[in-house]
Amino acid sequence: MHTDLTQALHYLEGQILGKPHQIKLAMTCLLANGHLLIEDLPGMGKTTLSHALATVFGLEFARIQFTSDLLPADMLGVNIYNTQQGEFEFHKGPIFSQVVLADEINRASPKTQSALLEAMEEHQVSIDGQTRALPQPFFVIATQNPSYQAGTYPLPESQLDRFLMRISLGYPDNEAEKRMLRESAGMSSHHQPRQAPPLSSEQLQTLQSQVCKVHVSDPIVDYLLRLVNQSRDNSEFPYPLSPRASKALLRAAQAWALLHQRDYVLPEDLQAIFTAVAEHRLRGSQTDYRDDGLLSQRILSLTDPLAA
Amino acid sequence: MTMQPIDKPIRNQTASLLIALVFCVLSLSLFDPLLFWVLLIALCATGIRIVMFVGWYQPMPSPRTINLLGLLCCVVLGWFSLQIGLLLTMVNLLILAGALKLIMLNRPRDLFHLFCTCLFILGMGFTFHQSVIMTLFYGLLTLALLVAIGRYFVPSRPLTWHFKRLTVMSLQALPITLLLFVVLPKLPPLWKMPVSKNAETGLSDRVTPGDIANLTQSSELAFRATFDGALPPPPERYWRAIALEYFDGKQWSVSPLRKQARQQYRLLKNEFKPRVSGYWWQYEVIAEPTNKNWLFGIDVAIPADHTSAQSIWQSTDYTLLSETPITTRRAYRLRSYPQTSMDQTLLSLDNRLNLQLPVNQSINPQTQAWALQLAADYPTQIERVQAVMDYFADEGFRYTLTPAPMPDNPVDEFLFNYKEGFCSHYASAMSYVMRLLGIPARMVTGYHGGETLQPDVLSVYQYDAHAWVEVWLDERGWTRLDPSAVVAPARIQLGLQQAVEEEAFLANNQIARLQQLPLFAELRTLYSLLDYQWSRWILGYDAERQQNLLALLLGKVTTQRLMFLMLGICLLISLLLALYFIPHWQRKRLPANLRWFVQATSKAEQLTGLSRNNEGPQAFAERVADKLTPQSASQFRAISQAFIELNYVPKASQSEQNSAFIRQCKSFMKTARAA
Repeated sequence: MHTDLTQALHYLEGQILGKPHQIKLAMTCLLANGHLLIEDLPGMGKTTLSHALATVFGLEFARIQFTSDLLPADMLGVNIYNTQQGEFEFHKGPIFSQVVLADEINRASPKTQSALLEAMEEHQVSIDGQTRALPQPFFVIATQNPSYQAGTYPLPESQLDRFLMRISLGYPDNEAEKRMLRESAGMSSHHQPRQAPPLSSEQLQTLQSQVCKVHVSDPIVDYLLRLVNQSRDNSEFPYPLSPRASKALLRAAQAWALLHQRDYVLPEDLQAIFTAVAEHRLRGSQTDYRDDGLLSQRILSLTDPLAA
Repeated sequence: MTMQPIDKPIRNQTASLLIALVFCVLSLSLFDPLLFWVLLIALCATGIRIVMFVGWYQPMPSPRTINLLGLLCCVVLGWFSLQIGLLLTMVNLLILAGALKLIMLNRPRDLFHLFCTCLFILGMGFTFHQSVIMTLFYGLLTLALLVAIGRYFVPSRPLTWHFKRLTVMSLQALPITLLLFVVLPKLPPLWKMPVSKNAETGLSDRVTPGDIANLTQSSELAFRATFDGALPPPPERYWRAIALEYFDGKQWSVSPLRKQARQQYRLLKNEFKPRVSGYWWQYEVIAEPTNKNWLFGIDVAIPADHTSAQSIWQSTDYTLLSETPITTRRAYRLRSYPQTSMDQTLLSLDNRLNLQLPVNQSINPQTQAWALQLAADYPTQIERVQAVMDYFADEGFRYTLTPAPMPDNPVDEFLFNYKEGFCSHYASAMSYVMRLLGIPARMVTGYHGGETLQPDVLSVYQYDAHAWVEVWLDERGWTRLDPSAVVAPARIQLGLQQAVEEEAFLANNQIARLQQLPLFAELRTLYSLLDYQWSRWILGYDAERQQNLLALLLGKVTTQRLMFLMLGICLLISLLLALYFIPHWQRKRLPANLRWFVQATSKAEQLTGLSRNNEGPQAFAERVADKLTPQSASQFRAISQAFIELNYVPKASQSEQNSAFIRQCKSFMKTARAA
């Protein structure tokens, strides 16, 4: 039924080797119409992933490299006076694209960060009192360096909450890295030429509308509520999950189910996306992202899906 | 990963503020036993907490500072301990420790320590306060403490949520508490209450005329008496407390010789047992703490039962003494024989003591002269007594609560100059004159009257304090004379309030003035009733009452029956607990298919040795399938699939599938058991 989805996944896996889970999560995020935050060290394939995500659905792609002196206008666009026609003319900034890669978002000043996040939330921007709609679909992939690196302005909790997911790619395993090196050196025996983007943006929108139709049964909603309440009733968790977070969890679980060719959600779906969706909300602005002692895993381990 | 909450600064949590406030209120409620500077430190600690909470100043004092402060406090407290005794020292030490802990409250552990300390202080508070109001108040404080600790564990919920929840839980615990209160053995206290000088209330063993007038400004309760039958008529309500036999010209006190004699009697275990006759009233007295030994009874009173007899020493001056000072409310039962004449003791000691005159013979010369005159005019004892009483009646004496001060020659001034005074003036003067006339006489203090709380209960207040005279008449023995009654008959018939109405009864006591309002009076009566029932049933519930209750329940107290009772109680408590938990369990009761599936998974866990670890049904089925036998594996897969379809896949009707699913589960269990 969703052969196009399988194709898309296959295409992405050809682009980023050895990271099938992260690819699925990124794809889920896109399907759930949420924004993605990738947190990793430089050179881990963040840009490659976002570029691949854009091309797979044939979306327009723009990249903004955030620096501490980047101003909102650099990103949104400016009105420039045209002397020949005697009027102001709007020059669109890079934000008017379907996929925006906001690279190293935590290097920009809070003012610029807010401008981006506002655009993400409202799907429109206001420049000089004029509101301009952003293209559909609109998908922001932001990357950030771990906060311990110098010259970073960590995103505040309220803005982290705007990202549906936060993932981290991590180092590839030996096998995958070997293949990658072979391909990049042109040594691979079965090196395929880059395929054309298999899908269109209309197909993406159809898929996005299908996500909403994925069935969520009562036991799943109860399980989700138990997970969320666990974060609220337990002092282990300094930042309890908000209702926005529970909505995000549900949408992501639906998208994940769709990605796995199902029209109903299983507890496994919630568990699969839980860390990506909840961890950055649970941890607040403490962004040290470690694999041990994840708060979201703690919640999962405390909550049984087979209960009432 | 541990279950420990994350260590994060506590200073800004509501829990810490709440616990600080509770500690503060608790310390203030222990106002009396605390040393002033200890209270000050407790208040300062609370202040520091509030400042930290609000965020005016964040840095904590260093542990070194606190340690130094703690050491200093210990040294100072050690020095004070010589004055205040062991128990009070320990109380102060606990408050100090709590205060210092409060200052350095920084980690969850500190919070728990302080929580436990506060609970202990709460328990300790009951050694000093036992009234209904204080019990309710401490109950509320306990609730606040629990809310604080609940708030720490679940900070995301509002305080009202915690409050509601904990109130419900406390109410659920109440029946169990009551039951335990009724059946747990009543152990004697582990320590003795200290007798502190300033905590004395009520009568004193030294009376300078005028002292009792001060006492009448107090509307505190002195004791309550519950009569088995009708109340004695008002004029008979003379509650004897102390016989004062030593007079130095100004002040009456208990004779040192009398005290010595009492000690000797006690050593010899030679207790005075008056022969009693005539009709009697039987009653129980619940005395308020006085920190003194004397007890109250209507003449001639003897202990009515064994327990009372054990704790009461009957002295030869017809007073009743408690073996230990009355530091908490004390109940005892007495039987009074008003017709018994007190003629059984005039030992040579009594005679000597009650004819004793001030060493300084130059005091009250006028009175001495007057006595000589009387002695010459009236030859017999009776005539002499009558003459003095007549003098009081005829010479325009006035009964007042605010007599003029009479520092020198008080009796002279009173008898011949001012001619006004309070009961102790009259009693003092009369006793002195009697002694000058060669009639053994003494002043007796106690209470007179009482307010009828219930048809059979009298409340006696401090303002009922009274003093009267006892003289030894050769043919009648000790005879009570009350010159106040001659001067102000209303005092005896109706009570003090009526006797001095024009003088604004309890003039200095602002609260007592409110009693003029009918509503307030009604509330006061209501509270008195409540307080009476409280002291009677809760505070007065001692080992003996418990025994009686058990006897009532069991008929005869045998080990076997006692065991059955205990068993019954345990059952009752578990029943009460079950009443609370069963709805909880029922709510938690899983739907049938889920229950069967959980059973099947645990069977699979058992068979494979794998643990499900909160995995979803599909993931677990896949993981577990490799380790099961092929047949079981396919069965389990089928079950899981069916479960998923039942629960997660949209379906129209499910009841049929449900029973099919349960059959599937059962067959899986069967094969698994066979394997």
